[in-house]
Amino acid sequence: MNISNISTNSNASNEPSVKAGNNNAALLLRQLGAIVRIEINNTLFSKRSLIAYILTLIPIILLLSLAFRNGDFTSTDFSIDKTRRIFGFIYSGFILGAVVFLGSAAIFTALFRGEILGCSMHYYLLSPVRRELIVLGKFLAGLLSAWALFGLTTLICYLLLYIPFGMTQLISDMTASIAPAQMFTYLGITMLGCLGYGSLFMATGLIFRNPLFPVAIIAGWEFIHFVLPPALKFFSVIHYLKGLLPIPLNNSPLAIVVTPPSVLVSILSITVLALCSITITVLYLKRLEIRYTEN
Amino acid sequence: MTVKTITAGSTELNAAHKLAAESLPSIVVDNVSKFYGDVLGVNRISFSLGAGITGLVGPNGAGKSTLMNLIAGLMRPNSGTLKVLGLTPAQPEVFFRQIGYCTQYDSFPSGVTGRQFIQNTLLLHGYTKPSAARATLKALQQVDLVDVADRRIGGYSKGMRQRIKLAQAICHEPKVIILDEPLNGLDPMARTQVIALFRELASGGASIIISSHILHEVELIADHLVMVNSGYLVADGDASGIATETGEPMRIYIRSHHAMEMAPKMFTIEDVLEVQIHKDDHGLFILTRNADKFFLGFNTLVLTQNWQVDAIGPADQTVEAIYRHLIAGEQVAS
Repeated sequence: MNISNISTNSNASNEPSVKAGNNNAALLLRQLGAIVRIEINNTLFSKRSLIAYILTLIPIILLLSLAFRNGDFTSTDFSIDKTRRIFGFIYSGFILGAVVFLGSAAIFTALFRGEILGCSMHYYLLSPVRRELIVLGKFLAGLLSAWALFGLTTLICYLLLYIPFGMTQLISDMTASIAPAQMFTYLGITMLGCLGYGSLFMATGLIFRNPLFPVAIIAGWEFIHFVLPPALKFFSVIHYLKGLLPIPLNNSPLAIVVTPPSVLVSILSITVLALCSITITVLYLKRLEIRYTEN
Repeated sequence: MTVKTITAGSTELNAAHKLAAESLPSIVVDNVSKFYGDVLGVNRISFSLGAGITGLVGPNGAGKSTLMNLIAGLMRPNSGTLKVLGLTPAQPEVFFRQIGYCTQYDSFPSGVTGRQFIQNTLLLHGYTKPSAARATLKALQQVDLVDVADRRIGGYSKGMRQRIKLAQAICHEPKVIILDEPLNGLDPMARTQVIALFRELASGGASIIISSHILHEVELIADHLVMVNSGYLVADGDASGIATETGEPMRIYIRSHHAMEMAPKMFTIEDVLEVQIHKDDHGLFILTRNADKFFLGFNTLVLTQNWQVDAIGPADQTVEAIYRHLIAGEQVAS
């Protein structure tokens, strides 16, 4: 028997209508909205969000303590230009390399693995939702949460730079467009980092029973990216992100130097990575069978 | 057969769909096998089920949950095909609208209340918020959990958790409901309520599959039985039919004030093995090897002898007797 077109709203006017092969957009949007809401709740307001919050706070506390520890801000060695340069190092080494990376790992690996470990994944799999939509909804929720947490950290940390220099310097830089340009470039890099790492970790969390090992391998790969030959650098997310930094940083003596990719290439490359990771996740989810005892 | 383009609001087409659904089996399992590596889950199982309540019976490890997971689309068979209302899980957006599954897993999304749990399910189905709220209330009323709906599920008793899972399985009014040990953890009062709910849903045209270890409950609830053992289908049919096929003698109780007169004539019916008279002389216990033949012969006698019969029915726990014969006996032998 082939039932090519079924409507479930013949009796109850409020029930959703489904037409195979021709899903109506309103229904899909309602389902997507429901997934995003449920997952944002899980990501931002549950026990599993604790790691992300701690990671978010660490650079803020660190910069606050640095700002109030150094007393001699009138020294000629201590200028706003130099501080911006130091921030560039802190951002690329710590905020991007640790907070965004580990925070994305914590948020995105839990999107599927958290459900499987909590034995609640079957509720999603038993829902009449296209698997593509489940993946998209979860990813969007993770991305919005990561952007909110790490984007805010990036902005706060940048503003904390100005504590030693006072409001006058801040207002002057803000009106001179130096500060907004840099601040939003850092914010953009953070958002792009969440997109790239997030998609990768979402797939990792679904495919691997213990995502810690692949996360550690990816971390190692990202850590040694500067010594990788040019052909391999293209397979590193951090290569594209560091090329976008508003302040050129000194390279390590061991570094194999290549021309940084353009902004467009960086954005496109990370978007392609995200699309590939999402596609893999969808394909894997379609084949997923629930056997919690194995997990 | 092809049923094409059934749209909302079309009375004729909906009627056609209903007719098609009623005349066709809801669930068709055709030569299905499932292996976990080298371990057998179920092997070459075939049966079809229509509306009503089906009891899925078998010992631990028989393959009951595997079979339920396969029908519900949580697992894919290694070979064979499964269809529910002609649909397969390859079309999740249509397939899962027709299915409600109360799994054996005693787990829930973390931190949610009973109401949120049901409401989220309905929102995932695509319900609007107001209609989801209404359907949630209805489902909570059906399982008698309205009073505790706003408490976190983490604080529920086992029986309450079982009932909220049941509410989640039926909240979207599915046509096929699969229930894995749904009576576990329920107190006698809740069991009675839940069994009444199953009957109500079945009388509304739903196909319900219930697995249970408690055989007399299956006997009480199910119109149809599917017995599995060690991954194989052992029997499929109604209890008396299975008993007849297996040759397992069936005990029948007849209540009549003609009991004393009836007793000697019972042996004229083929396959009657034993006749006992009730201590009040108004009842008979008949042991027969073929229930269908007995009922046919007994009807003829009642008409020719002009007897009055007050009640007639199985006297013992038929499912348990069949289970003993087909499964427990086999396990002892092996």
